[in-house]
Amino acid sequence: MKISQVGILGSGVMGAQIAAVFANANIPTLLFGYEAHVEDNLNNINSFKPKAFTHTAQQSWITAASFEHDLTQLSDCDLVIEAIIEDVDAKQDLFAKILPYLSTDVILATNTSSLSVDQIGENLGDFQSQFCGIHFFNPPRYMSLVELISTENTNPDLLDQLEGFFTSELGKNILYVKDEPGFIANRIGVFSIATCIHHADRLGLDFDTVDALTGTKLKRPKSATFRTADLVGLDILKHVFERFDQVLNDDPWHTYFKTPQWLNHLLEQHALGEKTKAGIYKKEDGEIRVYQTESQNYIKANYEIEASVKSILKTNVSRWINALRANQHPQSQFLYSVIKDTCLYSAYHLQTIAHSTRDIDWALHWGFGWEVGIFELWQANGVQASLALFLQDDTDVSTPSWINGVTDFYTDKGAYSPSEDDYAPYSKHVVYDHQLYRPTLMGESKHRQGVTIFENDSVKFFHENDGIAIFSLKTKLHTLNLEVIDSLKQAIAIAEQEFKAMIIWQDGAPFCAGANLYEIVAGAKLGMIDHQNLYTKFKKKAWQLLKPNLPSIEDLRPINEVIELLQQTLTTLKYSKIPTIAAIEGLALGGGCELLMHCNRRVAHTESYIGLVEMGVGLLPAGGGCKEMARRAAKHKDLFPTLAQYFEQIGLAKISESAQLAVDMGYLDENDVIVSQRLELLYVAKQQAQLMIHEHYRPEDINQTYRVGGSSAKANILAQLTNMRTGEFISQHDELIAQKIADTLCGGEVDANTEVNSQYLLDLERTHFIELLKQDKTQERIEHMLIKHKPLRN
Amino acid sequence: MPHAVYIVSSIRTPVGKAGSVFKNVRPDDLLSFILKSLLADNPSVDPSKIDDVIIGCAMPEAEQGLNVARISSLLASYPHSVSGVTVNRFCASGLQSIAYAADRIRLGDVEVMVAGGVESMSMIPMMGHHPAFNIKVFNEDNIGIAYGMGTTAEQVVNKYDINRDSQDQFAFESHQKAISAVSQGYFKDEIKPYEVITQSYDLDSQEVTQQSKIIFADEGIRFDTSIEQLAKLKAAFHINGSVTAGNSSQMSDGAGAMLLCSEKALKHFNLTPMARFVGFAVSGVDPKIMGIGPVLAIPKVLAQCGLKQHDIGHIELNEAFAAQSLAVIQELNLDPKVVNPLGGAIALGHPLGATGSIRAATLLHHLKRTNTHYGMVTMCVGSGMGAAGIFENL
Repeated sequence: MKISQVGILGSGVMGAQIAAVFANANIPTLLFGYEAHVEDNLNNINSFKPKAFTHTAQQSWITAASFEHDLTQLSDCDLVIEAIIEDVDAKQDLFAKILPYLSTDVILATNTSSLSVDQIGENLGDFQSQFCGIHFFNPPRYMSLVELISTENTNPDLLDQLEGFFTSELGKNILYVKDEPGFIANRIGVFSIATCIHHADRLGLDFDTVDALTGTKLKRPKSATFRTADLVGLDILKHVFERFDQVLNDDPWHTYFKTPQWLNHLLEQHALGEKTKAGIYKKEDGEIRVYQTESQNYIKANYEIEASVKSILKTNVSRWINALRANQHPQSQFLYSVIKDTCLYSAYHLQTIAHSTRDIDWALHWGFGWEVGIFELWQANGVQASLALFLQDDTDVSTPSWINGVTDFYTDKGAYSPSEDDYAPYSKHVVYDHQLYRPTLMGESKHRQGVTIFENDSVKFFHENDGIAIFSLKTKLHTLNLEVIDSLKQAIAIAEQEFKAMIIWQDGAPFCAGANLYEIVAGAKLGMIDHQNLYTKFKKKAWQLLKPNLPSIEDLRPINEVIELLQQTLTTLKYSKIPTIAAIEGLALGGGCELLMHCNRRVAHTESYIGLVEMGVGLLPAGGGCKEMARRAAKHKDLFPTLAQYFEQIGLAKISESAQLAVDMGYLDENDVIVSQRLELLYVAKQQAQLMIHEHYRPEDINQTYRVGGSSAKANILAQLTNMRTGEFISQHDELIAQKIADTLCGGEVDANTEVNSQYLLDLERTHFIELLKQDKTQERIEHMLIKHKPLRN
Repeated sequence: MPHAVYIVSSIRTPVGKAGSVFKNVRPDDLLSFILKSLLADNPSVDPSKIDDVIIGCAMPEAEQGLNVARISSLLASYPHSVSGVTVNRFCASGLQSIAYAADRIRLGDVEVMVAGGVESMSMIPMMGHHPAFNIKVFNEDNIGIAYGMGTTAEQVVNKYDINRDSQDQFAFESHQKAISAVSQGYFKDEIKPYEVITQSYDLDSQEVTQQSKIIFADEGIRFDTSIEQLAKLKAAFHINGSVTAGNSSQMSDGAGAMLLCSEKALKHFNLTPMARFVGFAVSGVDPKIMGIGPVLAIPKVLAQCGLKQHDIGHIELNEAFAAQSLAVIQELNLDPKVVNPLGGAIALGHPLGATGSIRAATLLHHLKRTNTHYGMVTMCVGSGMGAAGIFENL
């Protein structure tokens, strides 16, 4: 059965956001609420932060409906999800009220994070087999995890259908979980927060120190522990703690779920976290301050991470447990204790709450943004060796009996399942046939490899025996460096000879974060902007910047040559004899945006953040970005307003907040394909490649000319800049960069509507880029970005 | 010896906020309504004796393009023999049209003229739909042409040392004076209520529906504004500036027109004049400080007419910005009591090319009401000009 229309019961923050998830996938959705509020609640969705809709126009897929008058409309819904307050009686009452209106083959679900799905559905009668729990994570647009909770009576076919629908059409990652408190993700994730609170208190560490330790350094999200708590809401955290405290009486770690005193204090002051602008953290006078439990005041964050701890965390994760345990510094002991507790807790409850170790690890990846799951980390450090250490420190800790014989949680056969006492393979649901490179956990085997055509430090070029070549970046954040550009040129040449199509695809986000700034600033500092100048202007400072992997100094080429090579290569990509397709997810910035614009078609994940952001480092797009935008503007009868829009995008370094918005910005075409499931990108790209092959794809005419805006269009932009500069909204250097962007986009100072070719615009781009790169202020901007990771305004 | 020029009628539409009550009303409809009303109010005048219709418009394109003066007079059923011309001196267009019309009568060439102004800022944005600056503007001498009006206001702030508080106070008073004027029914004589008829497709009934609403009064006045609220607004044109949306004029829609006659025509058609047109002058200033234009235009027109500043009992000084209004008052040492006694563009709105004719209507009716002898309409003009016209109450 196709899910044609969805009903969401409850138009509060969660219900409204869930409705937006369906609306974003162009699915007609009825949002039910009380008549007095539901229209307002619907209209309010567009102001949610982070944004719930991928495009404001998506709102038209949602229709407000009232509990009072519109329940008859439920008969048209194939899926009905309840998302009202977390109260069993209220939920049961609502279900009782709506049952008479439901279609007989409806799928009925409750979105709960803390209640028993069984209990909510106990009075559903004939509908029990069509009932399950669907647990979205907040914010549901951005959190890929959805936990599916079946009851004893749930028809397995229904779950199968939901798994397919949620995975492919909504782009979610499904985990089947048991009807246990907190299911899987919150049970382990909240325990992890509880253990951090416990050990921080024991070892006297402040909140900000804990966050510095448990964030990206520990391969967890930047929001770490307490910032995450602020984002979730401290009231909700307390609610979950209380619920766990109430129902998990037999849990050996039961005492960890006692609500700490400071949490009550904060809640008394109505400091609920992000939503009340104060929680564990608070922004005051432009600086972030952190709550101090002793003084009950907010003070300026002032943590220092012990160097020895920092260096341990920089080593391979397989050394962490031993090294952290051996280091007596409280910060190290803290991390060791937190890891140890989370390992033991996860193992102890594994059999009760999950099917295999994989379920817990993916729940932490997808639900809490951990880069390394707890069992992955444990296995990397040796299952039995680590366990022995844990037991030395926690002599009376409870461990499950199954663990004694286990040496690996993950093997080629799959993930360890205590109930089967064997390794469980992945779900064979057909929906995963479209996930060509379905991700696996550390220790599991990769599902596919492909046949390598060539590979080096920066790229892998391969195929899968279907006539389609795939070009993938291996660089950090998939940035473009000289080796990538050289390799791309080589790859296109090979693909034109031996393949029918070529796809640019990365095994994971981002698509491409732009050009490697290290190489650019190195060249600039070495005086190698427009000529070979290897040793004369050598500056020691330059090399201090250049710690990351760089080609040896002899391999550096003057930057104008590199830019020209990039322009030529992207031109070749655009006009190659075979169709070229970009498969995009996550960031596609600067050179990354130019790369995708020069492909013949694009397949983009909904969450694609695309933009020409060179302005941020004092430059302009010179890999054909300005040229492509000028070419796109020429398709409009009146060039001027389009050029003004494109100028604003480039001049303000704007990034699209979704693929849909990237269409409005001209980075994606109307004909490009947007997919909800990022793991289907390569599959869909291949389908597009086949389509283009069968359409007998031919490249556009490389000699085609087009109109440019010329001096009048440029003058319009200059007028705008004059006012911004006079009003001191932009700096002199901003104005200079913007003037060069304007000049390039408008094709210089030729007459309006003059026909030009691409090479003319590429030459303008390159000339202006080089002139800007010679400016000290631009070099300062690049250095600042490299060192501080944020733009400098100078 | 020039012939005397008399004003028989001076009327206008209510002024709507851009994007509001008149957002779907075409400016040629607004104007033809006023032109029609002018004839209806003066039934003794033979329309075929009107020599020409001169209309000011600052962005004469699209719905107010194609010589809106001619189109609107035909739409108003003026005889084919009555010609029409559109003139543009930006914000002074609606005063310039009066001056040109008066000049034709003064020379003795013609007996009856219609002059007015129209602007729909809802339909035609500032600078029009297709701005296209000349690149030569950006050499140092001419860069002021590229300055937005707000930018010029900030320049005036700096040059004439105008502070934020006094601008907000001026804006507040503009609203208060307008509120007081409305409560005394002062604008009723000059305003012709306009019936807005909208044709739209109703999604529920799936039918094209027609709705009508009569607009009686100016829309821009904020009855609830306060100094505190005005003080909270952010400067819009300079990062550390003081010119805000609250102490600047509003973008508006409206039209106004007047009937001008020679003495001969007065007698022939048995008309009673409201006022006599006395004189008009314009002057140019540095475009960067365009707001200061009246400082040159006012003394110039006074000298032309042989009058002194203290002879003028009521000045309608267009409040493009509180900043430039204050600078003009300060530089010429104008008596604040005679300036905009009924409020100004900050409260009442500023439909660019229509403003001159609209404020002339306000002035002439109030001169009559207060039995004041001389009055003036004056304004600054984009790209650096000032204009001023003097009228004598009869």
